[in-house]
Amino acid sequence: MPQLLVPIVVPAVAGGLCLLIPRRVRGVREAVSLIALAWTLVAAFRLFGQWPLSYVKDWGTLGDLTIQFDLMLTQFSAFIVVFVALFGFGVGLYSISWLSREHDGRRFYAFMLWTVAASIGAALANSLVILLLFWEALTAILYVYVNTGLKKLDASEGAAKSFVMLGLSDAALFIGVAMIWARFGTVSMDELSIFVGDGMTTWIYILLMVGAITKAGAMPFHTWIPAAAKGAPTPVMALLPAAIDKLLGIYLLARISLDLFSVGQGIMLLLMIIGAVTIIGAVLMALVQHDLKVLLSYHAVSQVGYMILGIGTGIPIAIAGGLFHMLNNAIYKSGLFLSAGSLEKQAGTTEIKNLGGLARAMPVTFIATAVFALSISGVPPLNGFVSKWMVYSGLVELGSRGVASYWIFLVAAFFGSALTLASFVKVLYSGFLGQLPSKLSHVREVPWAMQVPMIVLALLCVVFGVYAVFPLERFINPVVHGAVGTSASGGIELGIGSFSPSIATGLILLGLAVGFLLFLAAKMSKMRTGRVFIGGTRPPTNLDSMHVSGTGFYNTIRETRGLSGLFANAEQRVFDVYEIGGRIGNGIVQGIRMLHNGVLSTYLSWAVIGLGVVVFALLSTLLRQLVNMQ
Amino acid sequence: MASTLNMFIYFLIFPGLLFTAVVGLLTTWVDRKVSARVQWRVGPPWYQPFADILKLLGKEIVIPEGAKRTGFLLAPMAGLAAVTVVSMMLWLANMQGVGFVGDLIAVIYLLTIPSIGMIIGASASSNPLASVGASREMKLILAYELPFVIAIFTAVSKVSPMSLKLEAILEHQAANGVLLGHPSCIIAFIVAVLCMQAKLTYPPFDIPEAETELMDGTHMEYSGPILGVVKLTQAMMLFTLPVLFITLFWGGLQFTGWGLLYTIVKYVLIVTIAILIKNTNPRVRIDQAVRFFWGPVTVLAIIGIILALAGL
Repeated sequence: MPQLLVPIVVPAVAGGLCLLIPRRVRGVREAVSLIALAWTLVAAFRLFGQWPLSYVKDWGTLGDLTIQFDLMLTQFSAFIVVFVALFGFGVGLYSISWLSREHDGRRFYAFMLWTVAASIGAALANSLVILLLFWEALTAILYVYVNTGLKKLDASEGAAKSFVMLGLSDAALFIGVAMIWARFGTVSMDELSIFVGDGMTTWIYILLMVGAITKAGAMPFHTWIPAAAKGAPTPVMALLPAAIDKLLGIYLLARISLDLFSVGQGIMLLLMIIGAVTIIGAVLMALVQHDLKVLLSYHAVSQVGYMILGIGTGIPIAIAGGLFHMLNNAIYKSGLFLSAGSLEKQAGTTEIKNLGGLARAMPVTFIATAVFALSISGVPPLNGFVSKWMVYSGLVELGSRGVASYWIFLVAAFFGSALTLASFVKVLYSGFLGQLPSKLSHVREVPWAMQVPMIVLALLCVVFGVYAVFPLERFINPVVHGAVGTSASGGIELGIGSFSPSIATGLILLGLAVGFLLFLAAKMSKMRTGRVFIGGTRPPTNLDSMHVSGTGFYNTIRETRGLSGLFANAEQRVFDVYEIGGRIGNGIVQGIRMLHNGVLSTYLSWAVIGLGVVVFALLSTLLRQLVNMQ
Repeated sequence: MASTLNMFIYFLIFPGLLFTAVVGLLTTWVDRKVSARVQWRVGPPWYQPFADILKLLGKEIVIPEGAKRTGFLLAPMAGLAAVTVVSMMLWLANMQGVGFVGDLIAVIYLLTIPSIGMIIGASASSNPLASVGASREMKLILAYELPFVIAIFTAVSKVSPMSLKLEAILEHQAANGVLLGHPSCIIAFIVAVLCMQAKLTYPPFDIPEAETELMDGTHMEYSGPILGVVKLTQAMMLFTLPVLFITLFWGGLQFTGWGLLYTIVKYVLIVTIAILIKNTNPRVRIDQAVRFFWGPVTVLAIIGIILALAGL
């Protein structure tokens, strides 16, 4: 088998096998899936560095169009493939312990394997038609995959919403690809180089862009992610919207914006506006959520803003930052969903008001979650800071090139980062810190198969932050033609700014060591445990009455004048394109319905009018032909 | 690039931990003395802050039941480490004209770590009043962060060519005069000083600590050496923030002849403004603070940056 096909065929076949294994037999399908995912991961790693590698096979013709099964390994797709395979394996391992008896493991693993296969196919595709095939396969798989959730009503509602929104965006992509073929006569990505000048090319670009950013989940096409989060099994969220959909959506956006098309100022500005609005809008919604999974899903939307903003600037360091952020976000957001899944599994709920104080009971989950939460909030020296810093620097460079509006985007990005921090303070507080409700006193740490993926992802967050030069040199610089300067001592030099995460880490560790020594000097033995001090009175015997839930942490923000109306509208789904589209569609249907009043004479008159129109059309054509003949 | 040994010395003694701590504590003495004079008291002798810290180091630590120990003890330490790194970055840029560790964005982010540390520490204490304090501290960060960032980038916009590097901002000012000469930067400076008040949780923005209703809120369960670390971090912030503003807006620090005296005057002036605001204003509610920073202060900051981009 050609090397390029291995990571597609292996999981696809294993997925089929999983469906064939009888439901009663336990353990076999888990083993099959893990072996297949591990094989895929190894194959992906072996592909890395072998670019350019291609595989072309004719599939026949469709009119003038020769459909070729055309795959090509580029520097960009190689690293997407590696990380898709990595997330597939991690989430697969996690799911073994996560799935309960009520879940249908057969379908769950089959869909997981097919998701991995289709994603790798989409990343490797060189022909836009093949990309489209894999892309639509992913949409279909996601629909059935979300439906495996146990809360049937939420699951099917989320699945339907995802399917409609992604399906429509796929249709946009399809029309865009068709228009490319009609106009340029080829659908090979390596042959296309389109200058966006006229209306037609602008439309093509926008159609492809809609397909890409809906997959990634940017505003205004984001609402399927929170909807899916309500009902989907948590590992599905960790695998698809958190990780793979980000990688693929931003991959496609970057490919079309940087390789396939050369776009002008207007489109760039549009991308930057989408990015900035997404950052702020989604994070404000996240701030006031009371379900952990939905809260995380809004962050899955918000973080996309940084990537689109970075790509939209057109400044190489910001593009590099946007792509690095795509990678970092996939790592910590997938990790966060795994943490939420652990809480769900052990505490039985993701409702924030019912959680609290679990840090002692679940230390590994807590530390991993803290690392993810600090990464996504951009606390130096973790990975989220480095990529955000690169995007900021790119924006300042944009300003130095005379774009005066740069500061609006910069402030939006900065402020979004503060809001993200606030939202994750709420997560850490209400999940792990704060007071332990007595109902949760039985909770224990998750089994090792769930710990390992979280630990690995948390380590990746630390390593990609402290040794950011490693992923930057390995994965990002080849794509952006070496825009990011790196030094041997681990420093990153962007021209407009510089940062040495490794030195910063060393110094912070040194500070912590000094603090620890100070403790030792001040006699650690002089430490005792006392009752909580609540102003001099005796704490109540029922400690649950002292539980301060994180739900109302930001009610002040919600009630601030100017924002309160916005929140109220957002909760009424005024900004949801799905709802808007639904309402328009419903309006049309209601209009047509009025025609169906059950009165025979009305129907007859419609039929006669219709006949008249047909006859008139036919006659007029006939007449025109007669005139032409003479 | 400094050698490892140099880096140790920079970090631990000068201009890092020891130096920042000493000057910071001396500044808190100025704070206490000026406050005392405002209130017609005599005030403590200059060594009082040092005596306080030393005494705290000798006391026992009481950890509340149900607290998450590691988070509770580690979080304030991270704040201390971060503020030390920032102080070191600012001083090395001023003294040697070299960038060290990172640029202005790294400074802004590192400066939030002490607040994050306090929030995590307070949350980990499992005290309900500290929880309320943590929530308020976070909302306060949200409130001031917006105008603060705009003010900082007003200064960056005036530097030509625009740069985020501290040493480049200083070089520009050495060649073209201080940024405070521009009206836009005067506005930005005022905004920044207002935000400093909230960053230090000084009255009228001592909302997370609110002695009367939350009994020191976020600091409530801290005692002994760990409370010493918290107080020390606050003192070091009181020193670091004015140095940041002097670096950004006011030509940086000079170390020779009259320049040294001028530097001290600039520093004492900023600190005195903070102390005077602190002593003449009662505490506001958190929603008032949010509205204040997102309303008039942000509008002021936006006027500043628009003026800056218009060339003023």
